[in-house]
Amino acid sequence: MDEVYRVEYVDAYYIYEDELGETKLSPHEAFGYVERKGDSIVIRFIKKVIEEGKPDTSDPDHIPEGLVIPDTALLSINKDFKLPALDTIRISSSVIVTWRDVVHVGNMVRTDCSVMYTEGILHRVEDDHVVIKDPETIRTYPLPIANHPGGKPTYLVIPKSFITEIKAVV
Amino acid sequence: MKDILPNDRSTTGENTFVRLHVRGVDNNLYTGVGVLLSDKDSVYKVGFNVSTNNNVVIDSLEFKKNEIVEMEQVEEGSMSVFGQSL
Repeated sequence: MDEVYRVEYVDAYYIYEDELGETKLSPHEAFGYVERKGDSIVIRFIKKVIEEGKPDTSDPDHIPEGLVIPDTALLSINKDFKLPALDTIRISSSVIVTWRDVVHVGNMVRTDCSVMYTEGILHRVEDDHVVIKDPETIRTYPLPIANHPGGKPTYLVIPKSFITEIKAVV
Repeated sequence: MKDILPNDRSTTGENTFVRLHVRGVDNNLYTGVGVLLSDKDSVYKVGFNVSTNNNVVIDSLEFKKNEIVEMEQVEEGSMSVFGQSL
């Protein structure tokens, strides 16, 4: 884990305007020491150097500063991701979406992504993302947080590859 | 330490990448590679996560110059892209 990589990935985002124009996923680039942990990718922006004569007592999963992203957030995987569950859900349906989110980590032991639960209206389906109108989102893992994020977004853009489950509410 | 001019892609299309060795407040040594964004008031600002559409820096850290043990410029092309073959 001594090599520094450039990690090209995508992320979900909220929109707070009433008018919705074109939506697309914005590619991000992060630089750091990269490690795969299950279905997550850990990116350490900085890492501890083990110095000669100094015993290393730190937790190997400790992240001084970095990101944990779903492995499916990688641009190379995201662009070809398929989500068959969407084939049977009509636009304007009320939906429940469970999805994995990118998490920024500072000075803690953390190697997995947050899990989010969103209720809203399926507004748009594009090749690589969906748009949920009037989203109400709760973080369900690791600690439940209601009304995520602060404020009241009008739309939520989620990469298809982040979604672990989507279903219409009947 | 050799002077390195800060620069991010939003101004010239090129990034100035640096490798840092920093002594933390816990007296441990840390290292990392990022984009040198600014150099002022004895503080270097280094970006580690950017949106490539609009060059907005999402995550950055500030390092006091007296905490920096070593800093060298690195070539952007020396970094591999992670996960291309996954």
